[in-house]
Amino acid sequence: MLQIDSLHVSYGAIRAVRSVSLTVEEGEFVVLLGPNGAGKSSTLAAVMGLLKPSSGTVAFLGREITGQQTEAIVRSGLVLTPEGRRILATLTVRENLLLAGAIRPDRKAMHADLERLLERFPVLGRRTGSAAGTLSGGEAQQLAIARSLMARPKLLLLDEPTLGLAPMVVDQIFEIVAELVAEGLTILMVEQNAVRAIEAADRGYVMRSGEIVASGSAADLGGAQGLVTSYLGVNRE
Amino acid sequence: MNEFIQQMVNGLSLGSTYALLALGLAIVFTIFGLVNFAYGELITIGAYTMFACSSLGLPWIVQALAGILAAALASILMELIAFRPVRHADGTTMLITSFGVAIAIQAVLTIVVSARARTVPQPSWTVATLSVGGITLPAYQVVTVLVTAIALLAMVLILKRTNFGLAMRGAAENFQTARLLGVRANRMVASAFLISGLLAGIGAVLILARTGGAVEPTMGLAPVLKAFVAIVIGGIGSLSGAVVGGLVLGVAEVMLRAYLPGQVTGLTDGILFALVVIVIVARPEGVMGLKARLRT
Amino acid sequence: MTSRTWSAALRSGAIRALLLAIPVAVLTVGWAAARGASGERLAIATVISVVLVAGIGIFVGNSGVESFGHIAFAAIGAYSVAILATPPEIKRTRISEAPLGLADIRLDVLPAALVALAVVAIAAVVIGFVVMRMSGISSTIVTLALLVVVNGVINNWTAVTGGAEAFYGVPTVVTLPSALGVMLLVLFVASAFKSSPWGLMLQASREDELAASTMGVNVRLLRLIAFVISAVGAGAGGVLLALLLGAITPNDFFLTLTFITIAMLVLGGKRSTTGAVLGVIVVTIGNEIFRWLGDGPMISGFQLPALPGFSTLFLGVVIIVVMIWRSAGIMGDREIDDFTKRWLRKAQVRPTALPGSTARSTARLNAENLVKHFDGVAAVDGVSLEVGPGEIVGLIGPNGAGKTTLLNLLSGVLQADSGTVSINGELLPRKLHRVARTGLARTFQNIRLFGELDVSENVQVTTIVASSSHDHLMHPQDLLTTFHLESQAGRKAGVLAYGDQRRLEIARAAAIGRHFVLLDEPVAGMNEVESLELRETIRELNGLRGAGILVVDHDLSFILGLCQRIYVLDAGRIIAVGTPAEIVSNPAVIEAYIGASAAQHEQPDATRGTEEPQPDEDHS
Repeated sequence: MLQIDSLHVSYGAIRAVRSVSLTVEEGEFVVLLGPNGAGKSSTLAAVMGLLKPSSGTVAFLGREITGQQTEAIVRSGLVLTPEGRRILATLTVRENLLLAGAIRPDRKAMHADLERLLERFPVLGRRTGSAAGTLSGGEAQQLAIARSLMARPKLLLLDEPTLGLAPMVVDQIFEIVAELVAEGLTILMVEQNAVRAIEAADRGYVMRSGEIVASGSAADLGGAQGLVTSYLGVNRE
Repeated sequence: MNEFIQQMVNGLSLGSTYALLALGLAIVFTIFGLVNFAYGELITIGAYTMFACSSLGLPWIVQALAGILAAALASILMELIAFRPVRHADGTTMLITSFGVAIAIQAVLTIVVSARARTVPQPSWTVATLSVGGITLPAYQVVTVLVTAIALLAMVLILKRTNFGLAMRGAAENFQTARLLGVRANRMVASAFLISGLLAGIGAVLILARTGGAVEPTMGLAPVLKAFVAIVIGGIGSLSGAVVGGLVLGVAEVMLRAYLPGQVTGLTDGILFALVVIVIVARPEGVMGLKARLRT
Repeated sequence: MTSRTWSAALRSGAIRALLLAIPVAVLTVGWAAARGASGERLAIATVISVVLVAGIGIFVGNSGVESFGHIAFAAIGAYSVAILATPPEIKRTRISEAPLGLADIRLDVLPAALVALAVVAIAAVVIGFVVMRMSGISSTIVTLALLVVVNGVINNWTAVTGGAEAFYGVPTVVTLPSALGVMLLVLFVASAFKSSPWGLMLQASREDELAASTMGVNVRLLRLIAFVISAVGAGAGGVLLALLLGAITPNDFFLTLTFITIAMLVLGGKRSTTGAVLGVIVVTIGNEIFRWLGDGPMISGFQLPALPGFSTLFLGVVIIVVMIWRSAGIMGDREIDDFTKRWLRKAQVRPTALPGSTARSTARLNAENLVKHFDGVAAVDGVSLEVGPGEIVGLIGPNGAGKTTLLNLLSGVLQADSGTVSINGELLPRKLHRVARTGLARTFQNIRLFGELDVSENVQVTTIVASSSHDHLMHPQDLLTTFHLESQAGRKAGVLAYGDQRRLEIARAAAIGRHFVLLDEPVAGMNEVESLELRETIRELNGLRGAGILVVDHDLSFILGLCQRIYVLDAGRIIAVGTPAEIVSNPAVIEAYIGASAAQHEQPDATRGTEEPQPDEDHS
C-alpha cells in the first residue's frame, strides 16, 4: 500500500533520513521505532510532502506521490496525525472535525461519521462547542486521531501519539489504536514506547541516525533486549 | 453632548472604514505571512476604476461594483505575479517586494491618467444629512457604518458558517496543519487575496464618499498606514483584533482632531503613530508575536 | 580569511573608501564637465545619494533590522541646518515666531552643519532605544511611523519649520568636491564599521540573534551604536541636500526619497558598501534614462519630489525584480576589494598570536533545585546537578524529558521559575550576553552558526568577546587548527558539510567557553564514524584547557564512551546519576528509554540485567 524506496531527506547540511526503504501492506499495523532524532518524523513528513526528499521515491496505492502537494496526498487517502497533535486551538472541537471532513464529497456520510466519532470519543462528544485549545493533552490527542479518521483514511500515519501523556492516558491511546487495527485500518505508527508498540504491531522498523538498523516482528527484533541493543547502539554487558 | 455624539458617529464611521481595511490586510498576513504595503494601491485601483466608469457616464452603483471587483482582481493578480515568487522568502523580502509593487502601480496610474488629483462625482446622498432626535449626522457616515457592519457581518458568517470559512480560519491559525487536513494551499492563498481585495474595494467606495471623490495615485498611502496601525493595536495576526484596532484608531483620531488645541491638531497622525510605537515597545511579543495569533 | 581588528578595519576601510570614491569622482566630475550647471547638480545629487544609502546601510546591512525611517534623519538634518544657517533677514519673513531666538541666529555653514548632525545624533539615540529591541515586521512599522511622525511635525510646527511651504534662503554652498569629500568620509566610516569587531558582532546577530547573545554579543547596544552612526550618515545626506537645493519642503524628505534610497539599497545589496555605490549609480542612470523617456529630453536639475511616472515605474520594477531574482542584491556580501585583492595579493598582516593560556580551569558549575514551568506543566522539576573542573558529564533521557529546557536554564537562555545556577558560587548573570563572559558557552541542537559569515569570522566573534572579558585568549587560527577547520577558514559557514558545521559550532563555543561548554545533541544526524570523530574532538576540547563539558544526547553509546558521569532525566526529574557502567545496568534508565510499560513487562529482566533474548509475550 505504501512503498518508500531509498528515501533521503536533508535539512541544510543535516542528513536526517538516509536511504530509508520500507513498506506497509494493506491491513497491516507497522511501527517505526528509534530514539529521538533518528529521522522517524522526518520520514513521515517527507511521505506527506511536508519536506522535500533530496532523493528516493514514495508510492501510495501503486502511484508515485513524491513531490505532490500535501493536500493532494491527504485527499488520496493518506492521512497523518502529526506529532504534538497540532489541533487548531482557536476552532471548536466540532469545527476541527468538520474541517477534516470537508474534503469528502459524501456530506451525509461525513456528518454521520462525525456523530459516530463523537460517540466513540465521549470526551469529545461532551465538548463539541469548546475551543480545542482548552482540551487536555489526552483529549487533544483523541481529537487529533478522530480528526484524521474524519477523512476516512486508507492509511493512517500516527506520529508519536502518546508523547507527553500520563500513563493512564497512554493506555487509552493504545486501546484506541488497537481498536482501529481490529477494524481493519492500515496504520504506520511512530512511537516512543517501543516495546509496547512492537508487541501490539504486526511488525516494525527501528531507525537510528537516519537509517533503518533493524526490522521485523517483535521476535525478529529480539524482544525488549534486542530493542535496547539496536536502539541505543550499545551492547549491554 | 450633541457634538460629542456627532463626533462619536464620525469616529465610528472612520473607524469602521479602518476596521474593514485592517481586516483585509490581516487576512493576507495570517494566511500568507505578508504585510502587504501595496494594499493601499488596491484602494487606489478601486477608486480609479470608479473614475474610469464615471467618465464613461455609468451610474454610481455600477461604478462602485466595478471598483470593488477591480480591486479584488488586482489583488489576485498581485499575488500571482509578484508575491508567489517570493512566497518562501523571509517577511522582509516579501514586504520590500510589496513596496515595489506599490510604487509601480502608482507610477502606472501617473503615466496612464495623471499625477494630479481627479474627481469622481459623488451621488447627492453623500452630502445629505440625517436628523435623528435633534442630532444632525452626515448621511455618508451613517452609510459607512452600515456598509461596514454588513460587510463585517458577511465576513463573520462566511468564516463561521461555511466550510470555506472554516478552512480559512484553520489556515490562518496554522497553514501547515490545515494542509494536513486537505485544505488546498494555492486556493486558500488566492481566496485570502480575493477577500483582501474585495475589502479594499469597498474601502475605496467609502473613502471616496467621505472625501468627495478625489482620486490621485498616492491616495492609498494614508489608509494603508492607518490599517498598519490598526493591526498593530489589535495584535497582528488576529482577525478580530484588526477590526477592534480599526475602530479604536478611528475614534481616537476623530476625538484627537476634535478636542486637541488648535495648533497641534495637525499633529494628530504624529501622536497616533507615537502611541503605536509605545504599544509596540510596551508589548513587543504580545502585540506582534504569535501569541496574538491565538486570539482570532 | 580576514582578521577583525580595529587597526585592520581602519586600514581596509580607508582602502575600500578610496577604491569606491575614485570611480564615483571620475563619473560625476566627468558628467559635470560634459553637461555644465545642470550636469553638476545631477552629479552632486548622485554623490549625496551615495552618502544617504551608504549611511542607511551601516545599520540595515550590519544588523539585518529593516528601516524605512532613515529619511526622517535626513529631514531632521536638513531642517536643522536650514534653520541655523539661513540668514536672519530671510528667516524673519518666514519664522519670526520661532522660539529660542532661532530666527535671529546667524551661524556659518560648517558649525551649523555640525550642530545639525548633533541634533540628528540625539534624535537617533532616543529612537534607537526603541528600534534596538525590534526585528522583523515591528521594526518596519516603527521606522515607518518615525518617518510619518517626523514629517507630520515638520509640516505642522510652522513656527520653526515654516510648515508645508518651502523653507528658502538656505545658503547653497555645496560643490561637487565638498560633496565628494563628505562621501569619502561616510564611505570610510561604513567600510571600517563593517570590517570592525563591532561590525562583525552585529553581523553575527543578524545571522542568528540568539546564538550571538549566547556567545556574549551585546546585541542591543551594538544595534544602538550602529543606528546612531547610520542616522548621522543619513543626516549628513540631508544637510548636503538642503545646502544644495537652497529651498526645501517637508515632502522632499518623505516617501519619494525613501522609495529611491530603498531601491538603491536593495539593488546594490544591503550588506555591501560597494553595493550602495553601485545601487546609486545604476538607479540614477536608469532613473535619468526613464525620466528622459517619460518626459522628453528635459533635465530640470535636481527634482526628486516630483518624479514623473516612468522613472518611478522603473524604481518599482527594479525593487520587485531584485527581490524575486536575488534578494541579497547585486553584490550580496562582497566588496570591491574582494576583487582587487586577487591581483593586489596583499599579504595579510596577522597579529601575532597571543599566547593561549594553559592554566587549567578550576571552576565548578552548580545547579540547585531548578524548576521551570511551561503553561503550568513542569518541564524541569527540581533538578540539581554539578559539573566539576575538567569533568565530562552526560545528560540523557527520553524525548520530552526536559533536557533542552535544562540546558537553556544552565546557559541563561531561559530563566528558572525557582532554583539557581552558579559558577564557583557566583550566580549566573541574568543578561544573556553576560553569561558567555563568565566563561560558559553552548552549542545548539539544530546548529546555529552565523551562516553568511566565514568560518574564521564565526570563531572571531567569540574570540573578540573573550578578549574583552578574560585573558585566557586563544587565537582564532589556533582554534581552527585544533578543530581541523583551518582549510575551511575562508568558506561561508552555511555551506560547510554537516560534520564541519558541528565542529565549527563547538570551536566557536570553545573560544569563549573558558570554563564550561554545554553541547546539545552534538551527534544528532551523524553516522558512527562521524560521531567517533566528534568524540575525539570533544576530548581535545576538554584536554585543551580543562573546560568542564556537559553533553546532552540520545545516542547512548556515544555518551557512554565519552562521559565520566551521567545524569538521567525523565519527566523533568533526575532519575539516576552514575558512571557509564552504573547507568547502563540501571533499570530505571531502560524504562525511561524504551517506554514505561516496557518496564512493567520487563521488570524482572531489567533488574537481572541479563543478555539473553526475552521470551516473547504475545499481546495480540
